[in-house]
Amino acid sequence: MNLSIPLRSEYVLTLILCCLLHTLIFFFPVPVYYIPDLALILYLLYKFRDLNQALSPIFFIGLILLLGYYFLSPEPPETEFKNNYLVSLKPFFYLCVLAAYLKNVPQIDLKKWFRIILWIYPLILLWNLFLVHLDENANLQHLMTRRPYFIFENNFEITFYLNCFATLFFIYGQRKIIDFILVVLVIILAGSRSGLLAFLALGVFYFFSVGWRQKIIATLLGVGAVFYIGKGRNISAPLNSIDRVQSLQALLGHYNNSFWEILKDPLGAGIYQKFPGYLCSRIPDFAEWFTGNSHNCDPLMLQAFYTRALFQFGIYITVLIPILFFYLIKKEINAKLALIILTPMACVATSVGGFSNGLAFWGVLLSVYAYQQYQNPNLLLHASSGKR
Amino acid sequence: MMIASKITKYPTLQFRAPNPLRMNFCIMTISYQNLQNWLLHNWKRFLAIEILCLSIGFSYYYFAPKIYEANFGVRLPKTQIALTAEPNKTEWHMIISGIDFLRILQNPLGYGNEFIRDCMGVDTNQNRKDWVNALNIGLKNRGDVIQFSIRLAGEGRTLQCAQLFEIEVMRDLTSYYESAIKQATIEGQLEKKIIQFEKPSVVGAIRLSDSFIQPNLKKTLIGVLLLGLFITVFFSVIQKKYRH
Repeated sequence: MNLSIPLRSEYVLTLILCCLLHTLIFFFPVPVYYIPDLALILYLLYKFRDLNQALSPIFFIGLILLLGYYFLSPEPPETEFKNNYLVSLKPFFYLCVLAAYLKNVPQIDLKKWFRIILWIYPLILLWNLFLVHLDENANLQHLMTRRPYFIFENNFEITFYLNCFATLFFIYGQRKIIDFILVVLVIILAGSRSGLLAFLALGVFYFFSVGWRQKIIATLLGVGAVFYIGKGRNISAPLNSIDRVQSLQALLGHYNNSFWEILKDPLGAGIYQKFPGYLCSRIPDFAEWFTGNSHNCDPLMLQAFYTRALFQFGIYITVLIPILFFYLIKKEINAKLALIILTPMACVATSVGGFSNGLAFWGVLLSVYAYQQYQNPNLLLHASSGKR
Repeated sequence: MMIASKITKYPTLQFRAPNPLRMNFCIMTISYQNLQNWLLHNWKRFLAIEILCLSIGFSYYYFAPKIYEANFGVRLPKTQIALTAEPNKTEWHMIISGIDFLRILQNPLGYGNEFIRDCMGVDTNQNRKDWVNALNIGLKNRGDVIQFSIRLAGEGRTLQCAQLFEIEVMRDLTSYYESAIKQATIEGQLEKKIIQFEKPSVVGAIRLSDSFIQPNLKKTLIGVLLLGLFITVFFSVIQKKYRH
């Protein structure tokens, strides 16, 4: 077991900078929701100069879906509030980006940064809890119920974090048990149910990739995490008491709980249509909590990507989106690794944005880039020698 | 975005060796250099097509029929029923469900000749289908309020059709309400089980859109700009194909 803790200056420096940034955000909250997408657009502009690759036809499928839903979705009545439809279009935009920029690898050593993130993120979460303690004079029991974060909601951050772990373990082959322990620590600290689901799904791949000693340790740690979050987030409560299950049940009720009725709406209600008002009132306070107005039943209030996509895009496109992501990545790396890389995003899509979340997409994109850097170290040599 | 030979100026990533048994779905190479070359060779055509498309877009925007929207809501008739198992408790039941009523309204043959004539001008099959397509219906509250949006060309015509349609809807719902009362009286349930009936009612006055809702300037402009780009790409591909 390699338990050596990397204490190089850049780790410490990054940690200090991140803690300072988090302190700033903690005491002076700023809108951060679009930061990952802004960063993505800046990256696309910066790397446009290096664009040089075969273009997959999936780019055109993504483009057709993007333009099709933008131009052809039925408009809601003028008396209703407008939807935040740009979020709904994001999966198609991400497909286009993935198809056009899959080989446009950044010239920084991703392995080093994935390792830094893997190490410092749990410490940042602890720093957040420390700040909560200072700010609210919270005791340990109160802190255990908190959902610490760095910049964004921790559901999104965990998706990215799991991608960092998966990349280091499955692509770079750094099979340190300490990494797995750190992931379990983060899952426990974060208290995210969707994060736990993604962790357990990834844990299955992990379990079949390690020796017996690590298998036993991983199983014990996994059970411990399930038990802790199960107790903290009351997982034993009836399934239909979970808000995401309630919204899914309400939507399925709209289709009379009939699969045929779902099939009859092949392209969904479109991106501008409100979630039906009579269903919105069945999940009280959701719209008010999400949009600030109980009459603004934006489908985004459903939160879970699959539920929202079922309503807005219909079942075929909802199923098609993960398949296209998988197919694009599989073309670049092998099917098993593509499945592993997409697992965190596909799992959290049951609860949060998933395929329409910028940070989750960054996790997938960087994992694919990391694979290419690992397969072709010349990419980094070009960067260090200034040839590119 | 053009088909061109691979540029060797920039280092390319290692591609897999081509497998003849595997279908190659990559249909073109995209690179900064390709795009730059394409733009250098086609910028005049691109500019001309964009200007043409923009002028078509503006013409469409100014000359296309202006679609206005009228909105109103109707509360469905209900009955309050005492529960047999628990006499102290009551439940509200809708005489006709919102979904069922909505489906009836989507039938082009379900409207009177006079209504179609007054609203659409001439009673033709096409006008009946156009009328149904102009209707946008949704359920509100707890499914007991139907929200109607009517989208037709012309401000006055939209308002007139909405007023006529409101009368039609209220007449239909009132007939359901009256037949439910008759039925309950015949069956002798009025005193026993049914506590009261609630009449159908209009929720608020008809509201006309602040301005026309179609054509939409933003969408028209984005659409014609993209159309111009696609047309230019198409022409450059065709030109390349037939010149050689």
